Amino acid sequence: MMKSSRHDDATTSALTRRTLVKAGLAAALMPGLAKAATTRKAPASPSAPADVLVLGAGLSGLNAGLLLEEQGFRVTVLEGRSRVGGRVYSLTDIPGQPDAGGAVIAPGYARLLDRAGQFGVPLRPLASPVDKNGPMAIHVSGQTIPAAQWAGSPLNPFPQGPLRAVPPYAVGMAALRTSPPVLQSVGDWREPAFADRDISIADYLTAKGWTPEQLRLAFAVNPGYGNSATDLSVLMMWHLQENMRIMAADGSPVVQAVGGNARIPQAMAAALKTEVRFNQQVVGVRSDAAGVEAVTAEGQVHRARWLLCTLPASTARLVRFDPALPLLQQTAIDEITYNRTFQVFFEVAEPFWETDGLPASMWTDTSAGRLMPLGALAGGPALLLAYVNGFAADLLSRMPPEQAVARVQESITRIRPAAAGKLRVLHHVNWQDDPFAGGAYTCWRPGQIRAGFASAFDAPVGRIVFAGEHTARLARGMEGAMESGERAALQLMELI
Amino acid sequence: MNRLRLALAAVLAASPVSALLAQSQAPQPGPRAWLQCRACHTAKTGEANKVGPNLGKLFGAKAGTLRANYTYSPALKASGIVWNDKTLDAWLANPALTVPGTRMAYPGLANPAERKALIAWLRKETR
Repeated sequence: MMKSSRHDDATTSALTRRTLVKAGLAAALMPGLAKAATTRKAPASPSAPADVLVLGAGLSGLNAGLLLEEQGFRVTVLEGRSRVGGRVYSLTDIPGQPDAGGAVIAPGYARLLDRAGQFGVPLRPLASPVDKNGPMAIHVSGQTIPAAQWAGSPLNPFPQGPLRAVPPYAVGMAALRTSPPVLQSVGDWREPAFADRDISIADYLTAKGWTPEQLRLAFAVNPGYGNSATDLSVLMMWHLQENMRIMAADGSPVVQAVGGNARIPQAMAAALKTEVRFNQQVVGVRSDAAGVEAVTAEGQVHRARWLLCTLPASTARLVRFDPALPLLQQTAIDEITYNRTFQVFFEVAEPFWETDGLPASMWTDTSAGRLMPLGALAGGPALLLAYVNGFAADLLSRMPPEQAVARVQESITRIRPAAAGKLRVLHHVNWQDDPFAGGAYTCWRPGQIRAGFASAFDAPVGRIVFAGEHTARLARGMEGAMESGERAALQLMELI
Repeated sequence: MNRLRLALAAVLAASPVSALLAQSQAPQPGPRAWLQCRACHTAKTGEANKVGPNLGKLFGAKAGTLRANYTYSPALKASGIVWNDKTLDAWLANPALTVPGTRMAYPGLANPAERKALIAWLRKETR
């Protein structure tokens, strides 16, 4: 173990469990001391080295921390930001507290729902408001097409058949649906038996006769995953399909925590015996046979016997591991891709959709991305979210924020002149340039699952165990993070 | 020496240090495996359903019939399975292979010894 100038949580890595137990015994024989030793609450005292140092106070780190503490292990959670939740981020200064990450809790998000229930976080249905102007309209090539007219539109590139009636935002998934489904178990996608299916959507669908124009519309305009049909794995999309089926559970409505989904990680953090340590941006992880050290940007050193790294791959790639990680894990950290989102939250002074008669929600091929009303459609203050993905989000990410936000607003008013002067920018969120995120959520490129990037973090590397949404086997998003934290905690219980 | 040990044991049993000592032990295989189940399920009779159904009185029951207030997948209801050590072992090894179309979000417990421990634990808890 390297020497360091400042020791934080642990005085020395030589303080083993045996000495800890001895210290406890001594304390037992002196009741006052015993009380001091065992009723210790946060913040962590310098004399108590953690069994596990958790990097990241997102859902995965918090879930692992709670499970480990419940079994009696000492846990220290380090967080780079000054808040918990990671990419679960509620905009609490905006009416309705919309979520700018981790927005939707599906009925099958069992672990997340369980923690919400355990800590008394109330939930409410996240129902889309009914729009008397109809469902989400489509705006492509400068024309606005009501959903009902899409099947008959000359701009619809799909031939007569079942796909022509499907709106462009759903046609990709519809095209990938097979009967029976390719994957019949939520864990199958990583099995070697399916490795040869880890090809691009473009290769898969071009072989079925799809044209570049069809691929562009279905997979490169406001894509939920990847930027185009070329950089998206068909195997990953089948995994998502099976995952969505499971997570839809019995079809109950999706929900959101009252006050924003960040209430759940906040409640989880509050339940930890030891306070989360904030503003601890870890830049180095050093390990040897005796223990692990995490070094922060400011030179603080935290020690423990084991380390749980829950950082997204996009953030872990900024951490120097010493000794270096094996090639597979480091390559996965360096190359796993993340979906791009750029979000602008507007306050709507006057519901302009009542003036232009178009649905408030609209799917566009412009810098406005997808327009989605949040909150009341008629009466009261309404919010409009411009949710931009893919190449369009990449472009906005490269621009100065004010210019990017102005570009989004201009796109909206070009499509809908009635919106001019009615929109006030409240907030924008760009996960790409967030140093603690580096992207919104994981999306494996074609060949990355086959190369083992998805399963690279199943097993510990020395004293380092991995978790985080990108390591989840069954679920994705928030529930994937919870699942990975649970899996990591069970691994650590066996290792310690 | 023995006396000292006894005295020590007495102190330990009566003090919070027993909790400190207990921490060096990971939970037993049965309860540990249950940690993966409990976000979805409750085990004791009369407890509430979660995303998955309560498992009280599981053994001997027909799959998909146990809880009237739970919406089982059509696949599980039609499976004809009666839960016992043998059927649970197959189910827990790979739920989706055992009942294609199940909604249980669990890929399976590969280790036979862990399955055995979990089933023994379930038999006790769900009585």
